[in-house]
Amino acid sequence: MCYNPRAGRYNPGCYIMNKCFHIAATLVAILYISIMPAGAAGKSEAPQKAREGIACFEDLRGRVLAVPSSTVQDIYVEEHYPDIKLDRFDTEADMMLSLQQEKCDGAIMDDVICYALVRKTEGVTILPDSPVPPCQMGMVFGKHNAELCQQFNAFIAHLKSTGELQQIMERWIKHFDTAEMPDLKLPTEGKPIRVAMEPCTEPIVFIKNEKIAGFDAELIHRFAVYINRPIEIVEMEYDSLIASTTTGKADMAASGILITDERAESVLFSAPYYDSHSRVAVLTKNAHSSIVTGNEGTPILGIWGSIKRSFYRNIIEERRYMLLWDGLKVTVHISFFSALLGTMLGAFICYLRMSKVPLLRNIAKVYIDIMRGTPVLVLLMMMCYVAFTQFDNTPVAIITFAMNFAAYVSEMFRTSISSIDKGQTEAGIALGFSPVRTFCYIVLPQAVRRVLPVYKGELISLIKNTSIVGYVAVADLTRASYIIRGRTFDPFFPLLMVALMYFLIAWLFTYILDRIGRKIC
Amino acid sequence: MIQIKHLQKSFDNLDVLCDVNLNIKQGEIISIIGPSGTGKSTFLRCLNLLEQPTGGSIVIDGEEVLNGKVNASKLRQKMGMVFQSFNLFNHLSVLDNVCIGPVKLLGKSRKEAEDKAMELLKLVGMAEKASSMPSELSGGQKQRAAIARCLSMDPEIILFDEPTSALDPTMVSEVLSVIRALARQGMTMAIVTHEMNFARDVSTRVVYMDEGIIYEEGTPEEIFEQPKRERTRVFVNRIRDFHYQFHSPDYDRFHLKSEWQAYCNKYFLTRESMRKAQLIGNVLFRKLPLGKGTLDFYFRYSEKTREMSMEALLPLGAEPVGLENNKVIAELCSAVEYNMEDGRVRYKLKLRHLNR
Repeated sequence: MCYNPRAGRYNPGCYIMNKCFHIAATLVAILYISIMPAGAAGKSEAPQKAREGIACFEDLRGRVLAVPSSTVQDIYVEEHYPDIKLDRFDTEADMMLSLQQEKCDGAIMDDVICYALVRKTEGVTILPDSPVPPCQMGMVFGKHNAELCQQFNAFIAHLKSTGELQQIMERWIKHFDTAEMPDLKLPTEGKPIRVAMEPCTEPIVFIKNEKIAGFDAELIHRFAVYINRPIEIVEMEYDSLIASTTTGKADMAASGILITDERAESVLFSAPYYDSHSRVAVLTKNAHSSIVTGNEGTPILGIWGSIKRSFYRNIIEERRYMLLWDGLKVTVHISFFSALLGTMLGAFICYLRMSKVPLLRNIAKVYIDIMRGTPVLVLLMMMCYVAFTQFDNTPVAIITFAMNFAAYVSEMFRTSISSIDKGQTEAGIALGFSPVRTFCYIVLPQAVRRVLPVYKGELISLIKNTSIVGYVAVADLTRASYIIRGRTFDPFFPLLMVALMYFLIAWLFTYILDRIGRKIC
Repeated sequence: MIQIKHLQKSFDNLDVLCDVNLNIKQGEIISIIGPSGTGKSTFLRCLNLLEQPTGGSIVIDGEEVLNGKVNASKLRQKMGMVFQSFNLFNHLSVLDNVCIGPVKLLGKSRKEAEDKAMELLKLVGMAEKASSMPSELSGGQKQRAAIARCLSMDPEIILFDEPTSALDPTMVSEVLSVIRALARQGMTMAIVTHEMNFARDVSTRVVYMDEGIIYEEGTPEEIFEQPKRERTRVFVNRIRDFHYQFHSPDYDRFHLKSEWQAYCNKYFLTRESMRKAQLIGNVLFRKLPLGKGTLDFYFRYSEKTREMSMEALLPLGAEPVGLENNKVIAELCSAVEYNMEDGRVRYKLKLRHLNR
C-alpha cells in the first residue's frame, strides 16, 4: 500500500508501481522455488544426515511417506507401519513433486507408474522391496452392466491367449516414452460405451499429442473394436471414477484401478488384466549407495535455460497450449452462463425475498441460507452424482454455480434496492409512473449503480470458483493444468499460465460489466 | 374541481383523518395549517392516492376516484406533488429530472421536452444548473428543481407537502417566491405549511386542521385575525397554556413554583410579566375556594400578540367570589369576568398590556 502523507490520499501511480514490484517479486520467488529441484537444489543443499542411507522399506520407519490417497498402499501401510507418517495425494505426479522438494522421504505407488515417473525425474531411485502385497488391476463396471463386464472378460481372455496382452504391457511399461497408440479403426456406429478415465497417469492413461494414450487406453480401444461399439471417453478425477459407474455417468471406468474387496461390494470388477506391485521411490542422494545404479548426471542449464526448457516442455511440446485453450473455452463458457443464469435467478430470489407474502419471503430466506451455508463443491457433487446423474455434467455445473451465485447476489440486490430512499419511489409514483415503471426508471438505475462494485467482486469469485468443476469430470482450465502436470511433473508453467488466464477472464468480465454499467447508469 | 367528502384514513388502529370535507375550486390557493401530527400531510397524500383512504369520497372533475376503477397513474399526472424532502431523482441531472416525465409518460420527443424543461427551469431560476446533478445543489435549488419537474407534467393542481420545512432559513424565501410566482399565474395549489406569514399572503383560503378534521376554514383574514374557535385561536396566536390543578388548600407550593418556573423559562416570559402574574396569583389562591373540590387554574400567553390572561374554573357548587373588587387585580387586569360552565364558575382575567 502506498500512502502519500503530503497529498493526504492514495497516489495511484505510486500504488501501481508498488503493485508491479510485488507481482514481480512474487514471480521471482515462484520461479526460484520451481526450478530448485531441477537445478539449484541439488548442489546448494547440504546433505542431511538423518535422511541418508535408505536401503530398504524398513528404513522409512519414522519418516514421511507419500501415498496415493485411499489406495491399497495407503490402507496397507497405515495398518502395518503405524510409525510411518503418511502424506496423501491425488496424483502420483504431485507425490513425485513432493519428493523432489523433500517434503517427504519416499513415495509409494504402482510399479508401472513408478518406473515411468522415475525415468522422467532426475535424482530419484527405486527401492528394491515393498511390503505391500501385489494387487490386481481391473476395469470397473456398474452392477447393472454385468453383460458388458462379461464381454470384457472374454476380451481379456482372448488377449491373454494370443499373447497380445503381454506385448501391449511391455510396450507401455518398458518403452512408454516411445510407445504410440495402435492405429485402430474405431467403430462409429451404435450405442457408445462411456468410459470414465483420469488421463493424468503415465503410462496407464494420459494425454499425448492432445489424444488419449496409455496402457488402459489401448485396451479400451481394442475392446471397442472387439465388440464393435464406439467409445466415449469421460474424463474425471480419480476419486469420481468408481462412483461414476454406479450413478450411470459412465458404463465402465479404467485408469489402473486396483481390485479390492471393499470396492467390489459396490461395483463389478472385470477379470484382472495386470498384477501390480507397489514400488517406493526415494531421492537418490538419500538412498544407500548399494541400491543406486549408474546415475548419469543431468546437465545443469542455469536459470534462463531451465525456464526456457520448462516453458517448451509444458506449453509448446505436444501442442499442450491447445489443452489450455480448450480448458479456457470451457471455463469461459461455464463462467458466462453461470453468471447470466445466476443473475436472473438472483433477481427472482430477490423478488421473492422482498415480496409482501410471508410464505414467498420465507422460501427465499431458506434458499439463501442453504445455498450460502453449503460448500459449492459439495453442492456440485450432489447435483452431479445424486440429483442429475442422467445429465451431462457441464450444464449441471452451470446450474449449480448459478444457484450458488444467485443466493449471494440476491442479497446484494436486496440491500442495494432497499438502500434507495423511499422518497425516490414516491416521487416517481407521484409524477405519474406506475409502480413497475417507477422501479425500472427510478429505483433500478440507482440500485444497479450501488450494487455494481460488490457484484463485480462476486462475479470474480464465481469465475475462480468454477475451477472445481474438475471434480465432476469437466475439463476446464484448472483440469488442463493437472493434465499437463501429470505429464511433465513441473508445476510452474502450467499453474502460472492458468493463473494468468483466470486473471484475464476476470479482467475481461469486469471490463464488460463496467461498459454495461456505464451504459445503464 | 375536487370535492372531498367524509374522507377517512386510519393506520392500523390509529385514526389520522376522521371526517374531512373540502371543496377545491379552479384557481384556488389553499393553505393547510395546523399542529404537527394532525393529518395534514396524510390528507394531501390521500388526494393523489399515495395513501389509500379508508373511507369517504374524492370526486375530481365529476369522477369518483376511490371506487378502485380509476387509473391512479393517469390521475397523478394531472396532480403534481412537491415533497418536503425534494426527492429529486438522484441518478439524473436536473434537466433529465424535468424531462423524464414528459418523455416517458406524455410521449414527447426528447427535443420538445428539453425545450419545455429549459423554459420551466428559467421560471424557477435554475436554468444555469440544468446539467448539474442533484447532489451538487443546495436545498433551495433542489426544491425549485422539484417544482420545475412537477410543472413539466402540466398539472392542473400542485400539492405542496411542507415545501420549506427541510430548508435552511436562508433558502426558504427563494422557494416561497417561486410558489408566489406560480400563484400569480393562477395555478391551483394546496399547500401544507408552517410558514404562517406566507400562508396569509399567498392563499385564497386557509384551512386549519386538527383532530383529524377540518376544524375551521376561511379567508386568511378570518383565520388569522378572528379565529372563531378556541383551538384555531390557540394555534394562530401561538398561545401557550400553563395549567395547574388544586385539590386542597394545602397544595404543594414548591411543586407549583417549580412548574411555573419551568413554564416561564420555556416561553421566555419577562421578569416583569412573571412578577405581575405572581402578584395576581397570590391574591387568587387566597381568595378562591381551594378546598371544596378540584380547581383548575390556567395561565395563557400568546407568543404572537404577547397577551396574557388567566382563567380559573371553580369547583362544582362554588359561588363567585367577587374578584373584580380586589385592588391588586383591578390594577393589573384590564378585564375580569365570569360565566357558568356546566355548573362551574369560570373566571377570566385579562392582564393589562405591559409597558414595553
